[in-house]
Amino acid sequence: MAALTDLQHAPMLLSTLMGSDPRLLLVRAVAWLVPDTLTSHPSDPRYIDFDYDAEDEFAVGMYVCRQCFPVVYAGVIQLQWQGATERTLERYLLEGISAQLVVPLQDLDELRYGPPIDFCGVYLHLLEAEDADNPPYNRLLPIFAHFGLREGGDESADVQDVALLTGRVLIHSLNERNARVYQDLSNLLMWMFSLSGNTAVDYTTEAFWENGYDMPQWSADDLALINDINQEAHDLIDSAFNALTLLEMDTDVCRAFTRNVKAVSNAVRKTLTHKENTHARIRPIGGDPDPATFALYARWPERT
Amino acid sequence: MFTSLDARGLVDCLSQIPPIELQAVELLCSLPRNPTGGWFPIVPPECVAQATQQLIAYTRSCAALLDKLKYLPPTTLPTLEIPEWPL
Repeated sequence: MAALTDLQHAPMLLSTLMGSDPRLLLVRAVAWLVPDTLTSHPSDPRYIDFDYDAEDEFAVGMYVCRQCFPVVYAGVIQLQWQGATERTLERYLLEGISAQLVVPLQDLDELRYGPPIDFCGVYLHLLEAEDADNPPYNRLLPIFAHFGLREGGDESADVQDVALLTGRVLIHSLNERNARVYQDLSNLLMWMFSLSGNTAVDYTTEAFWENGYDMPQWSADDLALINDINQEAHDLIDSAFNALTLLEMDTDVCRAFTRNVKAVSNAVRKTLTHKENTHARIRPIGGDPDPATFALYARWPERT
Repeated sequence: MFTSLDARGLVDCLSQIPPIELQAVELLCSLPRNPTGGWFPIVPPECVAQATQQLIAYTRSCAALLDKLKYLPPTTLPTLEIPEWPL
């Protein structure tokens, strides 16, 4: 009987004991709020260098949340204490993390590769056959055609050099104008020729990997940077789509664009062809010609 | 300019460090004694989130400190008995 009474008082006794010692209180706080700290030890390699490939999706998600999204982490831990199912916890993780990203996650497995970058580079030689009938390629290919480029990107280096420099010249001339429509057009050309300086806009996923760049990490700094890159990329692509619509709707601008591409291409081609000609009027000095040199060939109708 | 620190100085230095005030511990201390158990307090989610953030930052700084201490050369303190600070 006495033993039963002792047993009934045990929780109270334990609770009192755990509250009286600061170290036990700290352990209890950790068990309550960051329990996975108790399962890793400083000598555990995972503690120092987390292996994203060795852990399951949920463990990766919890690690990422501890690093970057502590509020989501706290929510998951409390759900765990309430006995939530694995599916509920994973959905909470996915939605909680996605809410704080410019590019939401489709699956927890994507966490292994760092904060997601929304690559949307346009590479003609990487264009798949099935892409040809899909936006944006079916709208971009006619514009590339003005520059002498086509699907497959297998033109000679000379043609590609002329097209690229023509693109740079037109961007230069458009950036000197304040009208919104010309900023849109400039953004369209920057996207088409990978000249924006924004990683997400200038690269495809394959190109980024092939260049051997380091993938971003789940740290506060990298996360902020990737969110900025993705947001800037989305704004630029939205603007570029406005320009596509403009070219389809505004016949004056479309005509000027076609004429300017032709005029600048001709001037650029002559210069590049006569690179070695010492009598040529415009000669590049050390490397690529300056786009500003050819900007006078581009004329645009007034727009506000 | 710092030049050296003897054992006594180290003890004085460490004993002046105020105890950290963790919100999680305060919340646990505020939990009424419950004869049927109830190990963790029921508090609003934003309170839990704040306490968790603070505890994560604390455990992280402890881990960083531990990592630095690993590379300190060991020093024998034969005359000193401080069970709380087994350096």
